[in-house]
Amino acid sequence: MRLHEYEAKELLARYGIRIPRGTVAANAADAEAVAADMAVAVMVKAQVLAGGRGKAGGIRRAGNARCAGQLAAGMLSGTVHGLHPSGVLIEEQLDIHRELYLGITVDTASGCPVIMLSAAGGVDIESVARETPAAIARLPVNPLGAPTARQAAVLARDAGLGDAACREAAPLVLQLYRLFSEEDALIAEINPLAELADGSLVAADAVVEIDAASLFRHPAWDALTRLPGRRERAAQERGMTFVDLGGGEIGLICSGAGLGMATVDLIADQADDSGRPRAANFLETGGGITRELMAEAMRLVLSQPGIRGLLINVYGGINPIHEGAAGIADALADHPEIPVIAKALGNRQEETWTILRNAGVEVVTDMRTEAAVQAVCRRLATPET
Amino acid sequence: MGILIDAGTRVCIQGITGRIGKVQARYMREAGTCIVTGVTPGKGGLSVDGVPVFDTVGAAQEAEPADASVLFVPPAAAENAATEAIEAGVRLIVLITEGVPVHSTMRLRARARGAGARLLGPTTPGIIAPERAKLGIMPASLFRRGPVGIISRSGTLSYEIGGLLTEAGLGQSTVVGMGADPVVGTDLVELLELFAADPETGAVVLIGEVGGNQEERAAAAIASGYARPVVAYIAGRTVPPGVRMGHAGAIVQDGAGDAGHKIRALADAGVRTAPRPADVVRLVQESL
Repeated sequence: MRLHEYEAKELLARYGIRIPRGTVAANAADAEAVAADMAVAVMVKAQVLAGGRGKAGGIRRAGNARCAGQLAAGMLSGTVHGLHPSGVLIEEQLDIHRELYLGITVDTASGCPVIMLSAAGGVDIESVARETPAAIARLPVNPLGAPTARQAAVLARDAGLGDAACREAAPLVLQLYRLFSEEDALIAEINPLAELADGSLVAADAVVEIDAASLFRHPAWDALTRLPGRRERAAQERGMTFVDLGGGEIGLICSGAGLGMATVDLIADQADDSGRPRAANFLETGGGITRELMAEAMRLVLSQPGIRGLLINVYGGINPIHEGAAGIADALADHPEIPVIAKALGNRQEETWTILRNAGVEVVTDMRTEAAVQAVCRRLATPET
Repeated sequence: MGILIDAGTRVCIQGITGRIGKVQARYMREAGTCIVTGVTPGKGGLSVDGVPVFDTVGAAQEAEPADASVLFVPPAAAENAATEAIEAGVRLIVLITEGVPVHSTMRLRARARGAGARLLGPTTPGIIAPERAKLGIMPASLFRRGPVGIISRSGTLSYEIGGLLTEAGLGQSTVVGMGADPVVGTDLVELLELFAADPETGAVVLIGEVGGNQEERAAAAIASGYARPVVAYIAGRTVPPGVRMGHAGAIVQDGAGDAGHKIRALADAGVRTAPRPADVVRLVQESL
């Protein structure tokens, strides 16, 4: 769950990291009023959950309050990378002497957090990482402990910061690590970390992603409102994952993410030269199938415009597929016309097949997912009269 | 033989009194698993289908020592429950739970390694030695004993490919789910090493998917010399970037974790890669 810049900065401030003076405004009038109050030249920053905002016109300078209001009006009525800003952050402009980079992420290979610090921060940090990786100093951290002040100082020296900047940066490394660990962050990144003329360090921009699985420890965050659409949210609320694949005609329900992805791949392989038919969505039920959950999954998938057929691909391992079959039958009572193909194997499969066949579902007993994909494509090619 | 478990493996079930734990414990026993104890805090003294239940893993270990523990506990309880098993001296911990926070997994991985225990998962279907023992949730009816070792990031895809191999007369030495999260207790490379040392395993099947770099690291290990033929299938060739596809670890991000990249890395290392799950069968037949 990625946070907006203003939310990320509020978190940084709570952990003692200096951020620019600023306030979020929801409309142009508020933006102008905030800028007038601040009485300095400001930055106007669109709050969207996307990187590269500067290059896309989502970060602009304003010399006065009136100009800030106009820029805010433009941003709030438009999009940045296709996303509508939820507000604009009005911030004091900083007199940046040098741009540093400080980031903490999970190194999946070692299963440990890793802290990265560089004197070459700013918008091009990704090309620095690619072309001159040695310019980024790295410190792996034992997840059962925390970095020491001494390790942070060595990291800052390895990054080539110079004595004064090292003294400023080392405590900041420890503060950001505390945030990373205590807030269950997957990414905590300050870029640029602005070094001002007096040598002090300010977080000019920040990216924080909180682990959505950890929200039972952080109930104040609401992950649902950040999902792109109604179906994504409805699925998430029930422990399922829904992804809109954009304008296909085959609705998909799978138990298991790997099986679901394989099914999407096999449908793509089966498509004709015009790329049809296509999977409309990816829906993964998770391991908690019940009669009600399956009926809800069916309703979500069937509510997509342009759906001409349904493919259900499930295994009875942890999931009671015979209960799921009853939910499929429930949902089909309202949609008798739609062709439904199901492959359901594993524990209690025969019972499951009987329920599905009685509900008018074509049951594929071949174990190969491509057999089920071929069956649904056949039904789409020859609509029943 | 096979890896990590056999018919004699003694098993504790944490969360045995729960809805899922109770049903899955029954399926496990039907698959031959020797379940000696169950643990649910506050339910000590009960028994489930004749298995004695204890309040803590420590008490269970004192009464009937288990070699392995299988966890059916909610995500919020997973870190404490698995830590309890590690501290009680259990050598193999199978964390079925999906939705464990990554920071909890990082700590568990470090604790297990510190104690010399092996952690599988989280988000794993578990591990099965067909016709001997099952520590997990896979439908045992799909698997038979034989020469193929399977390592999978995906539960249900391992059922499909395992089932197809069985149908073709190719049984399995061990089928192990490594877990689908960004950080897991035991890596793909470590499981490959275990299979290379197993005389019963004649070929290894890797079932991967988008996200992370487990497959690339496995490819590097295989390229530098591996004692068994390897066949791989990678799911997610056509999924959109930037979206988590159901598994916490299944996301193509900033160009990393892409399925095509994994397939090329494995092919370059001499692995036979299957375009479709069913093609794994033919490739295994050719390699044995």
